[in-house]
Amino acid sequence: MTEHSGGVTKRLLERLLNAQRRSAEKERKMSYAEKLRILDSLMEQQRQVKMPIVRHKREV
Amino acid sequence: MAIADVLRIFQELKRDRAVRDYILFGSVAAMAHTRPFYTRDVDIGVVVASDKEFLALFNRLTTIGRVAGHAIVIGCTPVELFPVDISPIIQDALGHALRRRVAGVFVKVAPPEHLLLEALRVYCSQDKARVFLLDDVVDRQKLQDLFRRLDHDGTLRRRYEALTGETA
Repeated sequence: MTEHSGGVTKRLLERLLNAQRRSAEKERKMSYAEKLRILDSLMEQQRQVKMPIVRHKREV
Repeated sequence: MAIADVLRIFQELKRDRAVRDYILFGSVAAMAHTRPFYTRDVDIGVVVASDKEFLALFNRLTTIGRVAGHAIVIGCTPVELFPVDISPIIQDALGHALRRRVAGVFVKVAPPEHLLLEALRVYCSQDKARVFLLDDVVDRQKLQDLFRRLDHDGTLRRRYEALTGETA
């Protein structure tokens, strides 16, 4: 890899990847109950996407 | 009603002897070992002695929730129910299950090695993706033991090697 790649420095990329690794490890170590609460909210978000609230135009 | 509430219902069903035992499987179980991620439903393997017992359990759950496709939606949570003997891997997992506490309820969760093997058995796109997640957290020795014990014709080992490029 060159020192500069499309304007993104190697150092920035390394920092971002390290942050991502740390965050992944932190999430993996969460309690199971906490993970299931996150899944609950992801399922809820998915339901909102599947069933958008349709607002009908009020007839004048 | 959240996943924790579903688990509370299953605890009550066990207390009432409507189900002999149960174990979390699939993606929801995988999450005990990996990062949290989205999945459509909660897979629960149940121990029942006969079709009659399974039907009675299924019917009882439909009085709490409603059937939608292959799942029973309890509150807002789709639950896929299956007898553990549907797969020798799930049946074996019951004897090696880990216990996790969720909102005051202890639940049996399949170990990551069993989950990886079952994902290789089912081998749909969603299961293939789960193999990669679980591959980071499995105990290599335990995985090898499982391949030896439960993969009699070597199909799962071949799938594992094709998918990950690693030697099982």
